[in-house]
This record gives sequence, structure tokens and C-alpha cells, in this order.
Amino acid sequence: MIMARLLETEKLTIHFGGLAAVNEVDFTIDQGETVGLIGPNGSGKTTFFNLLTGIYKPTGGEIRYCGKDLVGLPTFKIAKQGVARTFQNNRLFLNLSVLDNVLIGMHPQQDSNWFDAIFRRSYVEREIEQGVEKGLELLSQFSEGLLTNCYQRAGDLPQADRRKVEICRALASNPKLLLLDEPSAGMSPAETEELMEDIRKVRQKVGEIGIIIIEHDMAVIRKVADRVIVLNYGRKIAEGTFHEISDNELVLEAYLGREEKDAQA
Amino acid sequence: MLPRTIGRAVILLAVEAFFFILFAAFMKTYETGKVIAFLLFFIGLGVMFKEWEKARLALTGLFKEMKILAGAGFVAMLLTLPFIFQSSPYLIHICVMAGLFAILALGLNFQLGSTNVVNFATAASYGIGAYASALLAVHFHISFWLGLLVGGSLASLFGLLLGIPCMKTKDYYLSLVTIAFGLIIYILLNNFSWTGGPNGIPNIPPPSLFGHSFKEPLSLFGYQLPFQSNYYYLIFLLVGGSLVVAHRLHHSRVGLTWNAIREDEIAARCHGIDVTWYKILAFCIDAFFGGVAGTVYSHYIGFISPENFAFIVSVVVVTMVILGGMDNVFGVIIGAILLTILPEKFRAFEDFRVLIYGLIVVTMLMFRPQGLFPQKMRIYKKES
Amino acid sequence: MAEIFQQLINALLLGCTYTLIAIGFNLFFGALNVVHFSHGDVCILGAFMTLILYGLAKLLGLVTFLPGFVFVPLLILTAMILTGLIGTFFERVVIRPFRYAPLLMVLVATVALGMVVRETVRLSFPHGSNPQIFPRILPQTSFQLGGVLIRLDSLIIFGTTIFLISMMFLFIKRTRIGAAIRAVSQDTEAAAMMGINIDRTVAVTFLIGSALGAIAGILIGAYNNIIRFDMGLMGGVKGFSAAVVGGLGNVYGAIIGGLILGFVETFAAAFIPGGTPYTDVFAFLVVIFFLIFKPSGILGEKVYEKV
Repeated sequence: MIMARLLETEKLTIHFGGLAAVNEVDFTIDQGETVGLIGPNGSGKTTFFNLLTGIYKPTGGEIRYCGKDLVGLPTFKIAKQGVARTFQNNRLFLNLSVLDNVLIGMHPQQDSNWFDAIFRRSYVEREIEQGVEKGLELLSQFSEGLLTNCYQRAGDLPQADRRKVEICRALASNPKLLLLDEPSAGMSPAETEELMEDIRKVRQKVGEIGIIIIEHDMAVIRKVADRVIVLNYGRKIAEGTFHEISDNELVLEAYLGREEKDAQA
Repeated sequence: MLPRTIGRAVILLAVEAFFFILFAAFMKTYETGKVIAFLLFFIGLGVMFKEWEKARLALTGLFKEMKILAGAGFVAMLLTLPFIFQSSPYLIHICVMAGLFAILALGLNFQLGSTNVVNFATAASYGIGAYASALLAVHFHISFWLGLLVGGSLASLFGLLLGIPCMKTKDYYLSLVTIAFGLIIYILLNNFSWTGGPNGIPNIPPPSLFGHSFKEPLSLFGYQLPFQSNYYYLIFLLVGGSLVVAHRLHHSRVGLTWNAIREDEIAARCHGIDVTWYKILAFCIDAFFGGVAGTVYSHYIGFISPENFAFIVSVVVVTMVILGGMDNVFGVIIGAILLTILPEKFRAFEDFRVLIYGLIVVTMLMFRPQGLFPQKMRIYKKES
Repeated sequence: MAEIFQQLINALLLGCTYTLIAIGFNLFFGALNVVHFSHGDVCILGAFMTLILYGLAKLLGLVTFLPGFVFVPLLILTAMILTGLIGTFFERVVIRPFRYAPLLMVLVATVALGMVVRETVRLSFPHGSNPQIFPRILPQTSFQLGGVLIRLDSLIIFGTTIFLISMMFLFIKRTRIGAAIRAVSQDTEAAAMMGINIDRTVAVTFLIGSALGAIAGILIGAYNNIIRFDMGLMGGVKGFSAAVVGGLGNVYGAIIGGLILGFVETFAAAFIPGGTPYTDVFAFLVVIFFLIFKPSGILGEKVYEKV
């Protein structure tokens, strides 16, 4: 299988006032690749995701996705082209059921409008039926428990299940690029283990999908990521396999601070 | 098996008939003391229904099992209402008004309930519909039926206009735009000479159907029903239609998308939802409902003035949606009916009407923000 | 030229009123991130409070007993304090329960509260639906200046507004409680962790905002010589609009926003033929224009959504 370039940024930059939260970052990801995005708190990882998804407009640089320019496109159009994401402090639709959450994920593929809803009932019902079928299948792949509780209010789920639903919701749109923002945050080691298993399942299911994953848990990064990119103060300071990164001095410095400084303190 | 089904059907119809008779009896009560006694009885029933789980499950099970029969029985009973109230047109009038407000509340529910856009301009679309069709009828002799469509569409067009600012604004700011819009329409209606200014438009002709004017008493099965009955049946159809539309929209991709926007706008955008468009859509559909209700109102009463479309009307409709239960189609209708009928039953306290509306909203939001009938999870039929 | 100057004074006066109301909106929004929509009604309540107090004082013979320059400030001060307390009471009873609820619930609740206030006022006065005559507490003399007729009460109103607004800024800038108010408006949680009593700070904010609003109500009454129970609705919408135009949450923005609205209305009435009945329409169109093209207002900072 030939793996094509999925997404590429060139000198991507955003300033908030005087602060460059993301500063001239060059980034690439190919189809079928899993890229880890790491860096200390406040290094601009989530901002990078917000730039890719169009929530923030970059002040400079380019984003090319499947050969098309994404800069300036509204968020929903970017999502429609197959960029799906999860959120750091997960943003499920809390008052809707688990299944409804996943159904909303399918929004980009479905096409019924208000006219269909009112006057072409059979079309809408078929759409819902297919959606429900697909949604239940997705949920069942992640957890039997979610399948049986698919009518539960999403807000009543425990944290680990919420992450799963969020990933299901993102996958429901058949994305080409999946952005995972700290999926293991607030999880126990066992739950994290399960999460890594889930990510592997995703990989098996859709081989050509590209995954960018922000993580603090290095165990996850080591197991999941083909390649790692390190951000610090908005700049890319290192890039390579996990082993290359873990020996990199700049990275150690970013995470642990400079030795002289430590000595002074 | 068959006798058991018939038995259950009889029980179901008996329960419905019981409530229907109660309702009719309540409507025919005028003394404040008796009205209060009735209300206490209703509240007692409600509490019992809530606490006595076995009865509740049995009843809801019964209704779910025979949905069609339950609906048919309900419709049949409502259709007999003008016959029961034959001698008191005033009661039929209340029912017509309740229906009009039910349409307004159903419309607003798309925004307030489904999408969490607080629109305080319901009165504006109501007024635009009413004035458009009234002016067409008075000056150009356009028929009511065409006016209904024109009124609704024109209101919808204004809804679109009102929806445009929501490309840039949301929350408070959007609500401010709707308030300002409502006030602008009110001021304009009050000052334009071609809308009759504060005097409004008198002598709006009643609709007619197959040569039967709605101003004439209605003869059905040898009964002479007061002229309000014409409007009762018209509004019955319109509420029925609105209900179907609202229900269908709720159970579709559109309704689900609105809910997503209500829950989390950013997450919705990240899942490919064009938030602006769906909000504008909610504005347009709401306004269409408002325009239709306004058209019926103007031809029914025969006289409109800006006072009928003041800010307070918008707040009343908001109250109905909140009381009934946001995003619950049936709850919203019940909210509208309650808040139309109860003030009429407490005419002695007419002066306190608005005050009580205000108090209802504040207390409901504090103690039961989900309303009398909270929204329910969508349940999809399981594949067998 | 004289005509323009005359209108300028009118615009300034109207702007002062809107500014005073808008300051309340901004203070509350800063402190709690809420829009207290009934604030306009609280302001008009200030005028009615003055009316009641004046009646009481007349009954007790204070009006003739005390000289005007003692009595009137005393009257206004009492009305201010009472209105401030009412505002604080509303915060405690109606707004605080929604502190952790979705934003729009407060909006709806306070719109309803406004209705309750208006109706209560209407029902508490005999013929409450009709305009009530506002006592002439300010001197009614006027003088000519270069062909421009200047009413003395306008000057007093203008002076009082400037004085009060500067006092409020001093209070916020220089006092401990003022610092607490600023801290809470920057970051409520952080302020709480630094040991600031949030509830008390918010209460003080509402006290100040409502008391200043009362002045706006009194100004409206004194200038028009009448007040009506439902003036608060329009007053509230205008004050809120002024706050939004200036930048919601920014107290300085209230001044700019208030003046802009005041100028738009006055000049629309004066210089657009037949424009008088439509002044409010022009004002709202300006507001909608701002909301579309500069939603954060003139002095408001662009807010980046937290994701």
C-alpha cells in the first residue's frame, strides 16, 4: 500500500497578543501513521489542534490536507473533509444519550435536511436506521457495556467510558485524520491499558487513517506512536522515533529544566 | 388473546374519557373556589401518578401498547368539544387561543428548547404574520388561505433576517438582538401610517371555505355550533399539523443537530455541523409558525393593533415553553394550554396575570428547570 | 450652530442616563458573567423610591422644614441606598441560585424578574398604569448662553453623573473592596483562593451598580417630570445595549456606549425629518450593527474560546 501524505503544516504560527502559542511549526503525517505530539504544559499542543480544526485562525503559515489548503476554512468544513477530534476535557453532548452522541458524529455523511425530515419520512427513517446500526456496531467494538447502555445519558457515564464514547463519536464520521487530545487524562493504569488496546483496534479497522495523539503518559506514546514530535514554547524542538526523542537533550531540558537552573534553585 | 386486547382497549378509552370529562367540567367551572378545588384534585392526581409506581407503569404500558387507539380516541374526544361547549362560545374561544399559543410555543421550542437560542421576538413574527395577511385581505381582498401562506412565509423571511446576526453573535448578544428586533417591529407598527399606527387594522374579513363564512354558526349533524367552532376546528388541524412537523423534526438529523448545538457548540462544529445555518433554520421555522398563528389570530378577532404584539407576548410564550418542558413537544403544548386556560379561570385576579407569569418562570427555573414534562431520550427501535 | 449645541447638551444628558445604567450591567457582568436583565427596572425603581420617600417626607413636613440643598441630596441618597439594597436582594434570591447553571437561564430568569418588578410597581400605585408625576426636586430655572437655552437641572444632572462616576472609579481603584471587585472580575476562582469573600464582593458590586442605576432612574424622572412603571424595560434594553456597544464587562466602555446611544438618538430625532418616533429604532439598528461587525464592543477584548 502506498502511503500518501495526509496533512502537512508549514511554519504554522498563531499569536495571542504578544505570545506566540504556536511558532513556525512544520509538521507532517502520512496515511496510516500515528504521530505522538508531546511537550510540557502550555507548549501549544492543544492550540496546534485548534489550528488544524479551524477553531483558531493561524496568524501565519500553511496547512495542507490531502493537497488542499485548510487555512481560513470554518471548523465545520474542515470536519466535513474528514478531520475528527476528541477534546482534552472531553466535550460530550452530556444531556443526550450515548447513541445520539455517536449519531451526531455521523452528521458529515448524512444529508437529510429539514424538508426531508418533514415530508420524506421514509428517507429519514432509513437514514436513522442505518445510523443506529452503524453506531451500535461501533459501540460494540469498544465495549459491550456501552452497547447495552446506549440509551443512557452521556453525562451519567464514568470518565473512562466518556472517552470511549468520544472516540466512537469521532470515528463515526469515517475520518481520514483523527486527533486525540490527551485520551488517557484522568484514567487509571488499567483504563489506559484498555485505551491503548482501543487505539490499536482503530488502527486495525481502518488502516489508512492518520492519528495524531497528544499524551503526557509516555508509556502510551511509546506503544502507540510511530513518530513523536516535541513542542516547547510553541516551537518544534525535536522529531523522531520514541527512542530518538528520549535521548534528545533539548527534550530532557524542556521537561526537566536546565541543570544549572536546578543547581541554583 | 382477543378478549384481553378488547378489555385493555376499553380500559384505555375509559381512562381517556375520564380525563376528558374532568377537563370539560373544569372548563365549565367559573367560581374561583371550585376552580381551586379542581386544581388541587389535578395536582393530587399528578402526585399519585408519580408516587404509585405500579399504576403508572400499567398506564404508560397500556398507552404505549395501543398508541394508535389512544391517539384516535384522544382526537375523537377533542373533536366533540364544541358540541359540549355549544352554549358557551367563550369556552371555545379560550380553546382557540390555547391552540394559537400552542403553535407559537411549538415554534419557539425549536429555538429555546432544541437549540438553546433564547429568542424574545416571537411577538414580532406573530405580528408580521397578522399584519401581512390582514393588510392583504383588507386592501387587496386576498383570501385568508393564501394569506396564511404569505403571512407564514413573510414572517419566515424576517426570521432569516433576524438569524443573520447569529453568524457573529451568540448567547446574551443574540438574545439582545432578538429583544431589539421585537421592539423595532413594535415601534414600526405603532408609527407607520399604513399599519394604522396605534389604532391598528379593523374589519379584517373572516375566512370562508366552500362558501361557508367562518363568521357564521356551524351546522353539524343537526347541531348549531357557535361561529368560534369554525376556528376551533381550523386551529385543531393547524396544531395537529404543527405537532407532526415538530415531532418529525425532533426525530430527525435536524433535531439531533439542534440538540448538539444546544449541548456544546464547539464540539458540534468539530463534527461538521454548520452551526450558523442550523440556527438560522431554527429562526425561520419558528417565525413561520409565528406567522401562521398571527394570520389566524387577525382573521379570527377581526381587529389587530400593536398592543397584541408587545414584548410581553414573547415573554409569555417563553414562559409556556419553560413551564411545559423544553424540547418536549407534548410538554410545550400542555404548557401553552395551561397558561392560556388558567388565567381565564382566575379572571378575578386578572390584574396579577403578568406578575404570576413572571413568578412562574423564576420559580420553575430555580426548582424545576426541566419543566413539568422533561425531555426524553430518543429511543430507536431495536433491530430484531 | 446654536441648534447643534442645544442638541449636544440633550445628547450628553441622555448619554449620562444610559451610561449610569450600563455601568451596572458591566459591573455585574464582570463580577458574575451574568446579564442582570431586570437592572433597568431596578433603576426605575430608584425613581419610584424617590417618589415614595418624597411623599413620606411631605407627610412628615420635612419638605418645608429642611432647606432644599439639604433635603434633596438626603432624599436621593436614601433612595440610592434602598435601591442598592433591593438590587443586592435580587442578586441573593434570584441570581445566585443560577451561579453554576447555563448562562441563558439567568437571562430568562431576570427577564421574568423584570416583569415581576414592573407589575409590582404598577399594582402598588393607584392608577399604576398611568404615568406618575415626579416631584420637582431640582430647581426649574434656566438661562441663556449664546442663544442656547440651558436648564439648571440639566447642569446639576450632568455634574452629579460625572461626580458619581468618578467616585465609583476611585472606589474601584483605591479601596480594598474595589480591589476585590477587580480581582473577582478577572478570575473568580483565583480570587476565592486568595481569600476574597466572593459572595460579599458580589453583593457590594450589586449594591454599587443598583445605587448608580437609581440615579439614572431619578434623572429620567427629574428630566421628564413623569415616570411610568414600564420605563424600566426600555431603560434596561438601552443600558444593556450601551454596555454591549462599549464592550460588555468594561466599565469605561459604558461611558462610550452610553454616549454613542445618546448621540444617535438625539441627533436622529433632531436632524432626520420625521425621525422623532423612530429614535429607538435607530438606536437599536446601531446596536445590531455593532453586534454584527464588532461583537466584543469598542473596548471589549476579543475572547478566545477555551477548548
